[in-house]
Amino acid sequence: MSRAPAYSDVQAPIYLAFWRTPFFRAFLSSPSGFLALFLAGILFATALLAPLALTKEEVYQRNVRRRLEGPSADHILGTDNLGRDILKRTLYATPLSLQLALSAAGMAIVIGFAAGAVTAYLPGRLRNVALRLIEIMLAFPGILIAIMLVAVVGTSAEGAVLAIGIAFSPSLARVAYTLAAGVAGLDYIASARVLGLSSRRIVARYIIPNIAETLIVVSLNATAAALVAVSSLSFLGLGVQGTQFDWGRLITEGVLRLYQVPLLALAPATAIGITGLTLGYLGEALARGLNPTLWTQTASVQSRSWLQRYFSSETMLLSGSALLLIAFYFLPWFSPDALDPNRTLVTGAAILAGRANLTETAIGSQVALLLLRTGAWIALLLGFLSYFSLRFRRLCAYLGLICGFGAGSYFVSILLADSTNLGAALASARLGFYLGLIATILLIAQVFSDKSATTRGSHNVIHPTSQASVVEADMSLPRPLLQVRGLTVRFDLESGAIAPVNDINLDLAEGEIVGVVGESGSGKSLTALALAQLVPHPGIVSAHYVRLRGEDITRMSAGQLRYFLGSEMAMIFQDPMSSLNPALKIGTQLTEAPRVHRRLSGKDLHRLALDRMADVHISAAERRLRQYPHEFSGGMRQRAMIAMGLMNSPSLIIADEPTTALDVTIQAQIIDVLREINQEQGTTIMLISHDIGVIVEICSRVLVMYAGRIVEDVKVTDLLTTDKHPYTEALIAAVPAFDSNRDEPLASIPGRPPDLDNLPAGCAFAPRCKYVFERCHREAPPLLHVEETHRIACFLRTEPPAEATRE
Amino acid sequence: MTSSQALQRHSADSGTLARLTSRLGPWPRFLLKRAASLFVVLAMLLALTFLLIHLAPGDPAVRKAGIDASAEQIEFERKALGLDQPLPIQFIRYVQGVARLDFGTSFITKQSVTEILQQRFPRTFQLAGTGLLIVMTVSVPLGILVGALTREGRNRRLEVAFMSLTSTSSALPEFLTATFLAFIFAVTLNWLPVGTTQKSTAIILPAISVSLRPVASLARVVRLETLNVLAQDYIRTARSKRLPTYVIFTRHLLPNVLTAALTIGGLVFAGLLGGTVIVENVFAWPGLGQRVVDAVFNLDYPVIQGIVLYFGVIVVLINTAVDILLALVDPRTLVLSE
Amino acid sequence: MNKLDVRDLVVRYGRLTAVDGVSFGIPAGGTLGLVGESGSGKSTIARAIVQLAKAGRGQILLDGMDITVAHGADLNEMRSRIQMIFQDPYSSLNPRLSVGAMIDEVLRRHRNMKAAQRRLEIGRLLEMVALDPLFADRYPHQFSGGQRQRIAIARTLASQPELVILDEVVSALDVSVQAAILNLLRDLQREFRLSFLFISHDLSVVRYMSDSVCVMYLGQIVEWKETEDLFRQPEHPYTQGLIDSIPKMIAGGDPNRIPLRGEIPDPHFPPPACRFHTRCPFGPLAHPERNRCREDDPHRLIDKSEHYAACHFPLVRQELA
Repeated sequence: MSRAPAYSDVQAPIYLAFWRTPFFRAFLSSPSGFLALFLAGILFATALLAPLALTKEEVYQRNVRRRLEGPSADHILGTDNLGRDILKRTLYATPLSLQLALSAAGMAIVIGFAAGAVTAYLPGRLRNVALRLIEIMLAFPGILIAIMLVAVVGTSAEGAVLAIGIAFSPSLARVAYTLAAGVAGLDYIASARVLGLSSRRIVARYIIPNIAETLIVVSLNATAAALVAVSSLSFLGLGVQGTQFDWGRLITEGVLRLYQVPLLALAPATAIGITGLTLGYLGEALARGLNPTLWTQTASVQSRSWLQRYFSSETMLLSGSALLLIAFYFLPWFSPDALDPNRTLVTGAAILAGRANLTETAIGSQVALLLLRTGAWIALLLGFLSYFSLRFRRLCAYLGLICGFGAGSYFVSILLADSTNLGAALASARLGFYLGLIATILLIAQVFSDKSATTRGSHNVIHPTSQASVVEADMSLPRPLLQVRGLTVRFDLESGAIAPVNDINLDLAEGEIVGVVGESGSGKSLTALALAQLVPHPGIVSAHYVRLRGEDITRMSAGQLRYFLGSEMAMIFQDPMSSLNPALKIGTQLTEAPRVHRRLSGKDLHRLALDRMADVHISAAERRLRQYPHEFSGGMRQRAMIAMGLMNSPSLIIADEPTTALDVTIQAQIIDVLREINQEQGTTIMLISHDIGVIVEICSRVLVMYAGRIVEDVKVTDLLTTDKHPYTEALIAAVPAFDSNRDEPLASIPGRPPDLDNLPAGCAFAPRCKYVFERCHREAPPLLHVEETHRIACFLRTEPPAEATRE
Repeated sequence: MTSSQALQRHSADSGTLARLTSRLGPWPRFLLKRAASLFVVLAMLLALTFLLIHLAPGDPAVRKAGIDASAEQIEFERKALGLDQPLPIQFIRYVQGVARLDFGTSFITKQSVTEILQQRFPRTFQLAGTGLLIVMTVSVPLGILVGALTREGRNRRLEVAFMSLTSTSSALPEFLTATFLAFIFAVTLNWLPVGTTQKSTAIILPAISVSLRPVASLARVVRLETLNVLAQDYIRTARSKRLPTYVIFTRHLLPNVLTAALTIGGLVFAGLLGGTVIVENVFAWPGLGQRVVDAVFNLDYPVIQGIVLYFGVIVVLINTAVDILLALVDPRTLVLSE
Repeated sequence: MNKLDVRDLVVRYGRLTAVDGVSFGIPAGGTLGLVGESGSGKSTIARAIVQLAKAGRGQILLDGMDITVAHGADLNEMRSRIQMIFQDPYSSLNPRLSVGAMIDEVLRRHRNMKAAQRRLEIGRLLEMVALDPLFADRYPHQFSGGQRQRIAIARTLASQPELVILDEVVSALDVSVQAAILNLLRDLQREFRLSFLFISHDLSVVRYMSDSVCVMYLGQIVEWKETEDLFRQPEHPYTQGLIDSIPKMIAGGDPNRIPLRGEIPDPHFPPPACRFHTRCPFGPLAHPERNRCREDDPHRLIDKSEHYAACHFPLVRQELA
């Protein structure tokens, strides 16, 4: 084996081209980054170039003869009431609008962040006063504050900026405070302090990088909001004054003549919309770029080409909905006289048939408009449907595209029609139509070949699998309560399928307490959740059969299952505080299961609850039932959880780490309660724990799990004496025992638990096992009996190799 | 910022109060504290609106008397407005006036401000109230529904669609929405009336325009809160008890989600009031918002003062009501306020 | 002389007295274990020693010099000699710094080294905690819990500390990983003659790591003993109760154990006199004549400069049998 390169040998490249830095790669890893760059580039260029490219005359020169015209070759978006070009004016307003928005937002950000940061470091009482002040201002409508401030400072562009800047600062102060106060309490800040790093360094390297993401997103959102607010003020006539104009003011003019030239209001409105969208995308992409967890993306995402990434369904949907939205707004305005659908339809059909009079102007545009309108309305409808069905997703996206084609060809045809080149106008209109047609055909083909919607399993049930391979006689318990064969939990992830619980067979006898032990990731908790049918999405559970009291729950209907499991099985979870609903009284939570499943009510129900509370030794039960979980102590809550589980007198209780969140003295008490219930009511308990000590204390039998399989099934009394699975052996040795020699090192298990998506070929424990031999790497050992009550999945114990002779 | 946190903070900054009230039960104590904070906020509001007239550039007396008024006339108006008195006296007079519900008279129309408020407020209230109704009835079910459908990363596409739709609609300024809606439904389709308050259907468009943004932002919050609650252990507990889905949703999910919705409901209402100012101007809806813009144009200070104060009081009262409602819904709030 | 001496330390958070008159000492190269249930004030002591919490009263002496009154360069120098490793390896590492950069920050601050030297040193430190030096370029989220705790240890070693406070360092880890980390810590202790304050709720781990052990209850140390003595012959009933509560790897549980009843009271309102009397199986609950526990604080009477048990009626093993 060659010498591993030392860290100092590897020189990281000093200079990385900007587009290859992890920041930029993460920035571009989703379509929004690409869109943000693209749109921001356009905006920036417009802001810079518009004042240079457009002369004042072009923007201000009146031409009363050509007032309120629709789109034409001279005036692409038409003219306003004084005959000025709408597009040019909208473009010309870009720098001022952006400048006002940026300065208002900048002011709000500076004031807000400073105020927030200062508040976070104020002493207690003063901080509360400052916070209260911020809150009061926050509760007040921002625009109203701004209007009032405008009244004070006077109506002007500067006044509007000042007013918005001040009115917006409280919400930013609040964010800054929350972040600063939250970060200050974190462990890594504490550890940096303990390490003696200077405050300046802590702020620069520990605090700012960790809140930058949120600050940037918040700042960009504030900028978008400031743009809207400044425009609103201008719209109300309280902003930009005199001959100056920003988008808001253009809209004011447009609103007055909305019915004559809709584009007059629409063009600046669209500009505001695009800017808002840009800022949103930019924030999202920047936040992604600054997050180092995305700098090392999983191979599967990296390996997809940029083409695949950008044209994934999300992009389609994003662009589809963006186009839809534009279509929705643009739709009615294009040509008011063309709104008569009959006329459009007739001329459109005539042209397509080639029988129309070509001298008729703007015929092309009529057809395109027809396509555009019908396409867009259908797309709109499907767009809504697509929220509920996968099938309509692409349909919607493609129809969005059709609208795009239609709109494009419409513009082209208008331009051409005006320059009297009717043939070309018609051609462009036809092009739009045929492209749309092809897209539709493609789309329909794809929608109906899309089967991905039907192959997904539901996780809420256990899927029965073939029983052909079930080994019936493998286990024989005297009075079996629960019999599980071939239980598997599978997760289909993007990086591949994993099975955290893999083909488990287990039996529980009536009245037993069986422990399941294993480290994190061994699948022990997931086994419990799978039996209770509570596996989180997108896990898929399957089993040959799961028989509880002889009835196979994999073949029950949902209704049967609810009743059967509701009365036969109960679960107890790790954290009693979070497992009880904080908004409901303990009594309510205790009684709801029997109310539903056994239709008990009134006195009977109450008596039952009191009985169960007594079973778990909660005194003053009458009063306790009326209390809320927060009025209980930790141990008391877990007792209440157990009482809740006992309400329907279940035959099986699955307790998933019931004592892990509790102190040792409380743990001992809870163990006693569980033992007592088992002895007095004969309830079978499946106890899942990472602590083998707890299991030995209370259980009669223990199942040891490793990497999703049961590797050993042994009686607790035999656990410390007989030959065990090497993993079980190591697990016991790793716990510092009370009589161990303190001068010797603890027996630790080398390596670490395997990754479930990269399991070794043979025995999963082989890479860490000290007895490993050749066969272990080749095949996985089955779980076999070595004695009547002892099963092991290890070749060393079941079929030892020749050289490892038995004693 | 949740209201319970606010409550916690309250208790911290009113130490003496806590000692005074420590012998009362939790409810009287809670209400007393709320009343005290209400009083402080109202006092601040009064001071702020009072200062408005003094911070503004130009002499209010000149504005009232008119630009071409003689020096005597201006002096007369100054006396009439009480501007010759020292500031504290003026403030006391102002407070006395407010207490008598006398906010002065408009410089321009010479109408009493109280009369303006009486005339105009019902319209604004109608609009904001309808808006709030729309916000609550649309965004809460929508947020819960989308939250339930997108829990644990299901239906990624629905999530993307929901997020892009809500973020786009919350970025649309009210005046744009209002204009577009007016064009589509009033002008093009001629389904609904605008520019009138005579027909009962006239409120539909203004109310929709004013509520679109809050609906989007509240629906997002409700969805997030739904996801949050659905991921809680107690929902798993409820499922482990095999309760029917409707019980899980109505009993275990809804109260917890509603708490969050209510908490920001106060802020939503404030935003809604702000929106009415703009929407009223688009639809020529004769409410306070339209009047306050006119007043700012004309620097009609008594009217601005009166309307801002009025809005302020409403916002504060609504927030107090929300806090009390929260304490009723969520038993923990009272304890936290201890 | 002891590396660290804590004398009569009191720490208050508002109206809550989290640590109330605690005294103990740690010899150079030795380990003191600190056990107790949650809310007993263990972590507060740790935070007070590294000055994350303010000591309300008492002394914290490092080599005889009081940290609580030191300031300026002295304080900085003393702080660099005391380090702390936190419980949660997920939250104690800055997610935005690579492992190398994280250690580099410490080297820059405390060690006068050139960039190239620091690079070498980072590699050496990572090797010392049995990590691949190439990991220096990775970020915390790419590591497992045990590996992160190793990174935290390497970062701590970078400042060449003399006293390291280990606050529940293995309680978030699996047993197999836990054993490896404990072994590593003991090796490092031997190599650099480190003093440890080992805080844990797990008695068996504390027993394995410590030379002497302090047992805490409601902000006070109720017993301080050599490890072997404490576990063989606990004098304070609370210590006995804690030891009895631990699962002993005896199938069916230890039949002789005396379980503790009830739960730890609200630390805002600790019981008067002996704070344990409300739960004590040997106190006034079981023996009504033992009124002294309700009236007289046992802490008043003891010399806390060496091992002690704060109990009016200390247990003797024979009495139990």
